[in-house]
Amino acid sequence: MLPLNLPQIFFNSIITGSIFMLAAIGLSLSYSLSRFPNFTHAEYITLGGYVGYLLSEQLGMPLYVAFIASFLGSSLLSLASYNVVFKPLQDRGSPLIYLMVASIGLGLVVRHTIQQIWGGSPLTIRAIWPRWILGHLTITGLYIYIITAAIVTAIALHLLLTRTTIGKCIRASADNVELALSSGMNVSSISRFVWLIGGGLAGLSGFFMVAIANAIPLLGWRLLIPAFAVTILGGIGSFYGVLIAAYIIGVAENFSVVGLAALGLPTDLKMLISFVIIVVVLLVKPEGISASIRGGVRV
Amino acid sequence: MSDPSIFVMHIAFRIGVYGIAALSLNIEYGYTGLSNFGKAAFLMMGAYTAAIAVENGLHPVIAIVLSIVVAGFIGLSASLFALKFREDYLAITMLAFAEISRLILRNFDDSVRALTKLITGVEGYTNIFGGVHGKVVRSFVSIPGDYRLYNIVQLTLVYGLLASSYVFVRLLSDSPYGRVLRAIREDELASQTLGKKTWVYKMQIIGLGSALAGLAGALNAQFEGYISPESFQPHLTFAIWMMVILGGVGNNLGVLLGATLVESIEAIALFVKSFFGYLPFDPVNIQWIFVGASIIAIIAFKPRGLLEERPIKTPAVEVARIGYTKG
Amino acid sequence: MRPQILGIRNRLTISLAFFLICIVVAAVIVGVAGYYIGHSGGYRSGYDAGYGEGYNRGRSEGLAAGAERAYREGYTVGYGIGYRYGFSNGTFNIAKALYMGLKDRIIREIVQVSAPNLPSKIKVGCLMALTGELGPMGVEIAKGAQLAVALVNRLGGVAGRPVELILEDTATDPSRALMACKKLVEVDGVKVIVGPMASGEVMAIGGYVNERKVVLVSPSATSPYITLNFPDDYVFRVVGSDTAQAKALVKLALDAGCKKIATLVIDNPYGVGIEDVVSSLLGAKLVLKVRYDPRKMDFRTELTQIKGAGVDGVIYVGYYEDGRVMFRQAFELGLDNVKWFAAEGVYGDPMLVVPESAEFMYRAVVGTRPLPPLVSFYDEFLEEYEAVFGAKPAAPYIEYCLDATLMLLEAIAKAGVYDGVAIKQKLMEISSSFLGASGYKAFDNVGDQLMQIYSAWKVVKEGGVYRLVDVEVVTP
Repeated sequence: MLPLNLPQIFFNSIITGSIFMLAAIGLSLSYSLSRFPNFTHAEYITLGGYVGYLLSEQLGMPLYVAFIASFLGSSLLSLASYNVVFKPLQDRGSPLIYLMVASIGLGLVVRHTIQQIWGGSPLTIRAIWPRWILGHLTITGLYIYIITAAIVTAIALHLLLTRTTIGKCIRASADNVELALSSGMNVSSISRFVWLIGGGLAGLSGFFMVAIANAIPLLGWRLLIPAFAVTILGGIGSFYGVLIAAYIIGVAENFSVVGLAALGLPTDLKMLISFVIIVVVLLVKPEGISASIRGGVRV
Repeated sequence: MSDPSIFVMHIAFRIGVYGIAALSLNIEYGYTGLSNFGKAAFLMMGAYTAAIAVENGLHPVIAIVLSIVVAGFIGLSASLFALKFREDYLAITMLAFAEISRLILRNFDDSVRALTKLITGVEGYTNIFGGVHGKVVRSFVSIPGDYRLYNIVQLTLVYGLLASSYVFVRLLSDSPYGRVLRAIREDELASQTLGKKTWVYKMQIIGLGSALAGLAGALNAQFEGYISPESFQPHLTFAIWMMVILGGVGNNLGVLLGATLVESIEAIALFVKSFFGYLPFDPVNIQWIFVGASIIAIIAFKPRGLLEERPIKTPAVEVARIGYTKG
Repeated sequence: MRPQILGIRNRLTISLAFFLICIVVAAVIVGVAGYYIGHSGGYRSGYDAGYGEGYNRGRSEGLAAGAERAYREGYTVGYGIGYRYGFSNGTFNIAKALYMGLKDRIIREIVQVSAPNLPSKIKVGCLMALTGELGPMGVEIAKGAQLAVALVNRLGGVAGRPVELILEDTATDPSRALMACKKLVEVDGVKVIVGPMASGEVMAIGGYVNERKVVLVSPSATSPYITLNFPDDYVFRVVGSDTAQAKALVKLALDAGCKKIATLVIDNPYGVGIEDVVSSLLGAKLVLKVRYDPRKMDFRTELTQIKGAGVDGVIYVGYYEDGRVMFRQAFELGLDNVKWFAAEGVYGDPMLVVPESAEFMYRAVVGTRPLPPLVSFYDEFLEEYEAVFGAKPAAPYIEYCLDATLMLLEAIAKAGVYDGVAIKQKLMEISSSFLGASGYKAFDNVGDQLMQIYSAWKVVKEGGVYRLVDVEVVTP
């Protein structure tokens, strides 16, 4: 009975992993460049979802327009929050924990503004996706869409980070901000760029989550914890770490359901996976798997 | 028959309870710089310990002591994280720790049941924590017939404990011990070079803070009469943090002011809503937007909070100051 | 971004301390597990040894003494139950015969009553989850109370006095429900409250309303734990407990010929409560139990797990928010070849907004909901509801909320004073002959519903439009 299921569960894991990856890239890079865990990141995810809903459902635009808009909307919010709130606070010398609490406060502001505009009830995009059944594996158009987006993002970011000057600057500053500053890089404009891209990708993950499920104001918070787990398992600031960790956690979360159900334990316990990964990785190997990647190349 | 003072006392009680919780965070973060983002877990442990103790017929005083001890002990073990991590890692780990405890507590009874069945084949039955159904908690105080007096007694209880916690924290922070805590906050390495075993202090402080949080949890549980794991989600921790940052990190009166502000805003939102009947916006949204925005404003323009931390008043400092001005 | 590294000695100390704590934790876990295992093992062997001896002795002694006593007790119990049901049925039929409809009952029992001691304005509190997890449903259910108050005011008010409904939001949070409840009672001076919806909220405010002698009628809290914690008091419910609905669901599944059944429930008191009863009723036929956290929103692996277990029936308990997602994802995974039996949480038009979820429900889902379509004033309720709100009721329990409000108003009119003790007494009295939009509302002696009938519903598709219809009556 189990082997028949295996392809489907594995496929589910890949979709989960793809969404986690999109959600976590921005979190990881901005954590390492701006040096604080940004809890407002959850709101970039939520906003992306709602912008996608606004365009595709309320304004009746085609899905690719909604897709691009959710990227733009979240990236603008991300950039604005960096320019208007976090950068000035950092310039005033706010300590790390203050920045973290400020990000929680800003998250409250954004989330409740969203709730004021769209209400607290779940909203759904009413698209019907084509469905293919291959033996015991069911695939829908949406899943193909998600996986393609994840692959394209991964390749594009890889090219950006390795082939362009700004990419190299990002890698350098993510690895060591002081060194980057002292070698004359404009770290704050690099940061702006990273926040812009990271926020946009988070918006995409929110859009996909809305397409899979519902748009609700707490959408982002539901993805934030796995995103943190991915960030930490991958090693903060490590792009390739995020790529690998996202899929590891996707697989772990989905297969834990199988294990728990087999033991008769409440399947709700699968939520533990992300939290336990966070605690164990920080205790045992705080630099995450990035240190194990070949050649020790960070980022 | 209806008595508005009972509603006021309800708000006052919440202010008292969250005042204790905010004080406990103040000694951890305000004085020692330990970013404990797992406060909700310790409130939860205190609440559940008190609930189970009272359920088994123990005296309320023993229940309070037990909840302080249990939360404090678990805090001591969780302080291991504080020894190893710098502040942001500690914050994330404690957040994860709180959620892990909540999930385990929520599924404990069913998991034990499933495991017993797996090992022995016999369907056992446990009902310790009540799982998702939550637990109805009997009150510490019982005064049948006079509800107003009951509330006054409850209020006396919580404010008595708040006052003693305040005095305790105040004495602690003004003592030489408190000066070491501040030294750890400002520069841990320097205090280590002065021969202070900083890890001992950190363990003690997290233990103490958690014990106080356990007290707050126990008091709130017996007053509200019902607890469930859903009540102890991260937003509870965030609310306590808002109180501390808003009121003034390192200032005990300040954090009490913060607790008063955050709790009062909630009550005000309730009244605004029913007073105006229909509004084009939801006051609950406005309430949280206001809290969020004021946190950012405080951090930007008055980062030390509404009431700032004061220099320590101990004889040694006083003597030095007088000596300096005279000389 | 390297963490601060501690000295080697500290590392040793930490590892040692961590190790020690691990041992302590492990010991505690082993101890607790050992206790329960030992406990059940010891119990079992003692039970077996004692059973045989006790059986023989008890049999010989009991046969002689028991026969006579059993006869006497059986007679008494049978007489009592028979009398009660006979009496209720008799009064019910009288109730049906006496009144032409809801409005007739309101006019005769609420409006045309002389009650000189009532205040000039009758306040009714209403606690509903208008935001939070149950928000979408709560907004709809509150309309039941609004409709009841509008009806009574239009027809002349309680003994000529206007009724004012004060609606407060509980945000699906027990602690906030208590605060809102205290505000209603202490500041607004309310003596009767309709709501709240969730069982956790009722449990949080049950102690308080008992203390303040405020009559609380919940239209939709179905957890059996409420009765356990607050017997004989001011907490009433106009809906049967989950135990009855679980029985109805099981009956539905067994009647459909299912041999291997899985449960898929939301991880909260509502879902777990039904799961417990279903699991004790089905025994070995229940092959898989899955609980899901609605916050996760991605249920594909849980569904794959069910698909892989090869079941022919799924008992599902959830709400709109997660139900829509669940059915949509179940449709995507092709689970529409299995029979689904859903509880009332997913009964309602919001479920049909999403085409995939509606199609899935059309193909695979049959559900239960507490409704007696046979003898009630439901049609009249529908008519009035559509006249006031211009739409069909979009959630279960709206008619229950209407009945709860009407019962409270009638109890106030009969009591003649605005006082909790008197209202409670009258509420018990009138319940035995109350017929409302949701059927007969007789309370038993602890304030629960004496009997609850369920109807099975399904989704039909007519010209591309999906619609919910009742198909049969299920008596658990």
